[in-house]
Amino acid sequence: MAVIKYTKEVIEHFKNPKNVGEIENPDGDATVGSPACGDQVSVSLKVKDNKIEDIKFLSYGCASNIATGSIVTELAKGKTVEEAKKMTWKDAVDELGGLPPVKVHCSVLAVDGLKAAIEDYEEKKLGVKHEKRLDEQSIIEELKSVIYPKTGNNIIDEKLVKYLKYENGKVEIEISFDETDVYKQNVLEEIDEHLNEIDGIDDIEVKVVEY
Amino acid sequence: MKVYLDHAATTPLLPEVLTYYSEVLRDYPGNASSLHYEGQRSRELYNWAKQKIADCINADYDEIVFTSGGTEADNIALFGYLKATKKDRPNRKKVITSTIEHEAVIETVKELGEQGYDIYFAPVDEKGIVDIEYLKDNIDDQTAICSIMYANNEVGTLQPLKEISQLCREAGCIFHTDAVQAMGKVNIDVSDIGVDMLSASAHKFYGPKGVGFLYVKKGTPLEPVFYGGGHEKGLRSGTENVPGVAAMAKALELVTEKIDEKRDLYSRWTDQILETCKQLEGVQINGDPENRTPGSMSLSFSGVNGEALMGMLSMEDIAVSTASACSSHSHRKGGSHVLSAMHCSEEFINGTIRVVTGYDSNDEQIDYFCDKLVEKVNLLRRLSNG
Repeated sequence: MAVIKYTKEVIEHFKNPKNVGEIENPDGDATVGSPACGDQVSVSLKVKDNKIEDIKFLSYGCASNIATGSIVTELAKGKTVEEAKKMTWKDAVDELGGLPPVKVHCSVLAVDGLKAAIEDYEEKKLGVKHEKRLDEQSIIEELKSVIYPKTGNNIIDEKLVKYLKYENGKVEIEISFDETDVYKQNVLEEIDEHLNEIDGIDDIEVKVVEY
Repeated sequence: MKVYLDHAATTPLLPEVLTYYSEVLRDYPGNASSLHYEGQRSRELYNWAKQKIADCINADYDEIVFTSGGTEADNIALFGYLKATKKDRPNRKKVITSTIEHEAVIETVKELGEQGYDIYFAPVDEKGIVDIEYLKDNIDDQTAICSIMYANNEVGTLQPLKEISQLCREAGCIFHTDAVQAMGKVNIDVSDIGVDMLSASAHKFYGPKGVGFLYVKKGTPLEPVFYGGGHEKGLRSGTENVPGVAAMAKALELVTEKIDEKRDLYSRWTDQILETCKQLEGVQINGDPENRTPGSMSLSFSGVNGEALMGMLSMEDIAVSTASACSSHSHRKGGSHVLSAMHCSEEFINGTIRVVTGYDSNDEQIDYFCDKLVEKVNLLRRLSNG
């Protein structure tokens, strides 16, 4: 069983979260996750002169989820839209002084929420089309939200995914782990969850190669 | 002020038990199986402990088998009985249990399924009471053993054991109950219930961790599931844990005397906590309000993540748990199998905490808990709904 021990920064942001709420008439907003999974984050934002002028979040989640919601909104405030889009899960977690590996899932949501809210802003206000295409590249993009808890990188950059094929609603993935890797199950569940959320994918086959 | 309200996960040693436990550790170094004077002193104390435990549940001395705890007792009961009878009763292949058992029984039964037994999980109603009609339909002359818990570890619901034992007797099958959550909280009389085997664990009734017992009614066939020096009539080989069983006996003796007194005290606190919940609205009380172990509450709050609530209370020095302690570190999905079986909605399952008062609780702590509960539930609701 994992021991869940939080840093001072996490505890502070959890006890007194910043930027809680909903912006009226936001320039962009999004909700990610679902209460059924036990975690959900909504992010709303105002943009002025291409900078994030104000940003708020609501969370139905655990301590890590709330703390990352607080820190991500703090970090994003005042940044240009481009800078904010480049923010990663690792930036948030470094700012919090680290998170227990079992809590990776809950904390990724806040970053996903920020990105989705920015996309919503770009679509609504700038007329940028975020095409909902479904191909190998878009699946790879989605898998970049799956974090490998050991290093904090996503599983694509970590080069854990050795093979990926998409055809007629079916995804085939080959992923490799050290045979003693304790995060294997965690990562597999995350892959499943992320791909299941995509409309159009009916079948997921994940082959695990241990070395 | 530290406020421990997780007495279904474990209980602290009673001060008298701690003193006694340390004295025995110091003063009884002998191996109870040694024939010299040191061994015999330990043996006498060991036997005293066995008689004391037997007295507390209206059993006989030789019907008690000491174990390392509840899980080991459950394993010996189920595997041991089936092993002892598989040749003589080959047509009895059914093993029946419920959907809300502790993992110690559920996983054991699943393993029996792997080994070729036909396994059945009886459903429960929304109060967590096992479906008697299901048991009537399924307990028959093909049934080897039925195992239904005495009290549930998450919601505290007490099961209609007498009725179930009657069904088992009529069908000629063995009835086992995991009484880990009930021992020391309600009066237990094995012959009145008519149970064949019963498991218990000392750390749930203010005794030490790592010790428990299995009651085995005279004449119930059992074979060992592991082997060694033949201790405990061969059923539980391994050097006798003299300080452990002596402290367990002392603890059970003390708590058994106070069952009625504590029931009244806990019911006052339970009323106060439930009254506080009423003011919060959007609260569901899980389990059977009429028929549960004294002091235990399972509370579900709408718009609140139970893990966040537990975490916030913990930072105020209040210890409660989300579901049962065993499952609270597993992956978020799947939540509580007990609440799912009781048809609790997903939102409520994710918003659940378990609060269990105990011997070290007091009025001041309960007041403090109620204040903090209101504060944190309101905070988390603002956080999720704006």
